[in-house]
Amino acid sequence: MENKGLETVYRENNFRFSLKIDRYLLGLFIVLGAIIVVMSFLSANFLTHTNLLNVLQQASFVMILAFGMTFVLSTGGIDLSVGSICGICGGMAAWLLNKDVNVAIAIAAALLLGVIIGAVNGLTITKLNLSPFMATLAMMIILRGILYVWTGAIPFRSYMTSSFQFLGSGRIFGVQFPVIVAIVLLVVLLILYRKMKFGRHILALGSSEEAVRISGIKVDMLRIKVYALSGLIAAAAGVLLASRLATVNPEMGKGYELEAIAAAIIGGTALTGGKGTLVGTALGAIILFMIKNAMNLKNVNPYWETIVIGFIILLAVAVPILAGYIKGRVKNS
Amino acid sequence: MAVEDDHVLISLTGITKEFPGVKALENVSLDVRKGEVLALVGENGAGKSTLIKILSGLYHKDNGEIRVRGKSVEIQDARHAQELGISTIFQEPTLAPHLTAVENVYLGREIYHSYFGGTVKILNEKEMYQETEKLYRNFFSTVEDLKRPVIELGALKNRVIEIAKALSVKASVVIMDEPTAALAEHEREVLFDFIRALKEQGVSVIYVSHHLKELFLLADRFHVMRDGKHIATVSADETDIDQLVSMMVGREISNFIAKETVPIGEESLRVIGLNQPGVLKNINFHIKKGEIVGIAGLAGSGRTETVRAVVGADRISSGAVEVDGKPFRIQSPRDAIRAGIGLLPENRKLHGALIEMSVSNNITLASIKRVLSKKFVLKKKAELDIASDYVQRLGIKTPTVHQKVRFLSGGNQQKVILAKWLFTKPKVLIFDEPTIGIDVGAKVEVYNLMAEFVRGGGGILMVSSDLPELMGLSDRIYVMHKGEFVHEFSRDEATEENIMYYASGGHQ
Repeated sequence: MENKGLETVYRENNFRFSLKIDRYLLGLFIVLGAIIVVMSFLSANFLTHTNLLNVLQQASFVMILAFGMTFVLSTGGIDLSVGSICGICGGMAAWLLNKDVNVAIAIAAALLLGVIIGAVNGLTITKLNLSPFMATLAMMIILRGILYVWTGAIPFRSYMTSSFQFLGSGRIFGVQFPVIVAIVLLVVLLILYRKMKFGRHILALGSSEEAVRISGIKVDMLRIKVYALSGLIAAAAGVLLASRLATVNPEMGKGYELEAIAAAIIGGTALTGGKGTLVGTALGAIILFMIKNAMNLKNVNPYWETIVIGFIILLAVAVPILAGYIKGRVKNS
Repeated sequence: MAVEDDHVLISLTGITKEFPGVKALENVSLDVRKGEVLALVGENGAGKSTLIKILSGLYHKDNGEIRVRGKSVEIQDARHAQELGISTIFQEPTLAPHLTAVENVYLGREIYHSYFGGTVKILNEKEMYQETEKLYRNFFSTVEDLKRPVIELGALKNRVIEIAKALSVKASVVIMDEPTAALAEHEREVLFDFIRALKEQGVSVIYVSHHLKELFLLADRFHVMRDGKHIATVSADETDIDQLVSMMVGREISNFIAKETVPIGEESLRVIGLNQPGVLKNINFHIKKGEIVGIAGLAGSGRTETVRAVVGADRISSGAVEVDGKPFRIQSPRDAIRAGIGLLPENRKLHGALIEMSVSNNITLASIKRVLSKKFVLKKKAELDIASDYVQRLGIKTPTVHQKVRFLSGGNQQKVILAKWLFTKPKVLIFDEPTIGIDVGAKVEVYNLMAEFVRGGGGILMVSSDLPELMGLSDRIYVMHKGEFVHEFSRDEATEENIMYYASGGHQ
């Protein structure tokens, strides 16, 4: 009988947990709404068509990286090299365009480079048995170094063509192209994540590697694919950024990996794997950049921005734990 | 052993498997007939696990022949075994906790809708659900909770999902390793009904379990193994627990353990009513000064959990500990050290020693305050002197006290851990599998050190799967079964047969 009791408690605990995920997404919408309402009173410039589109445009690059990061985190891994991949692949596109290579070929080469780097990440993790943290940290530093050497610390310039410029600055129905890319990617990746074998296996891998192995799935290949996808997505963000900025300086994309991780975590993806939500990640990125925008409008010293973002991440991670803890206490007493 | 017999689904002949230093399986033969439950029984280390791992494709045999439906095969890997119709449900749950029942059943074999000439494959959730539902109706006549993450479901439902997963690959033989391990009493009965339903549909089951009593409810035949060898195969109606136990044990007691007679003193440790929901149930025992007390039991019976609970390494829901007749609150291993209780765990490299640190650092670890001057600074000289002293007294074979523990042999690692505890001036030492992975010569040295400790008025509690060792050293032996102390033997009463009888639930 004692066992029965235990099982009931266990079940209640987990039932609460599953409810919380749904509530969490709802909570994100509420937070987002609250920021919009408060800011619309504080600043006349906030709730304008132009400003909101701007926030989306600024958020789009990190959001795209964060989509890839959500896949990686869902397996229980991490990819710290996405910022550097973003930089070096943007650099690749710029360098080729500067050599008068066809736009399509330049973009394809940059994306291919991203896939290759990601696959190398996956290979070092699976075949050399490195922890994802160490493997991608090393990759992040190596790539950044290569970009410095390659550019000679002088930014790539004068590569812009009118068709390439459209990627970063063009608009469709008044919406910036990077935002469109982010939305299309969200839809495509959602299908991949929720409706296809790949996403199912990734969530299973983050949930229990043993279960995946015993089900006869090639675990190493799956991991390599995930990091290759993350590399591809980072490369896409790099190409967009190269177009948007019109110069590729060797610092491009630096620190983006942390913002991408922050967006995914604020969005409710677990660092331990097995759980993740792309919609949450998108909301996380928007909230992050909306707060930056709000502080910008209120002329807050930009250095404060970093501190505030840090606290938001802390809050995002702590809230679900605290909520569970308080409920647990109430139940026990 | 008629291989041509079409009732025989799988037949193994002369299977041998060697690991470095150990012959895990020696010339083992086995037949599985259609629609039977074949119970695989034997003590810990008898070779049952190795055998089922070979059948499920996780290990490769060194020698011998496997025939499936009369055809000779080499089982390559887990997938190949499944294709041959052999599915295995391991003791440890192997479901992905965040996925639903349906998702787990079809993990790795998903059903799709194909679009654009097969380039885009979208999961066909509906069909997977319907197929799983059909399977459930067929075998379990109940369908529920197929769409909830399995982490939210209880142990029984998880087991059922694993069985469904095994069946969904059209298995004709399902191997189950201790399937009732995490189940409550009434849940076991439900599971047994399911297993009987499998039998009726012509599915064979190889059932590995320690619980002999339970097996008689289910098994058609028993396949007894001991020390990697096949001892006998007997029909369930022609045998009983006593006969099985004597076939499982049947060893000569090694005679290199010489028990010293030590005067028994006052009570040193008493544990009263220890409870840990679902794991330990009302554990009571005591140890007197000069006594060595053994705990016997099969893997998973709660022996390690008991000693961990006593030293405060795991939380308990109720229970009390008395040291020298006075109550002592133990909530962490730190409290246990203060109370004078030390634990030498089973996994030395993981829980016992800091293998990357030196011998001297390990010895002073648990009582570091005694080598500090003015509370903060380490007295290097004193630490080295103390370490050298213990190295000499315990005969630890190491070039210097600066050697990393990693480079010592198992026996010497165990002595370093023992030195660490002796330096805390303990009243009671708890040994969990004191000589596991240690060669014979070093074993005797460890036994001698244990004897020396009790001669000095200490008390020892020891857990060991090595019955000759346990019986050779202990003054008294408690037997555990399913998280309870079910019997206490004096030194004279204990025999391997009657210990095994209680350990496998024969008394119930």
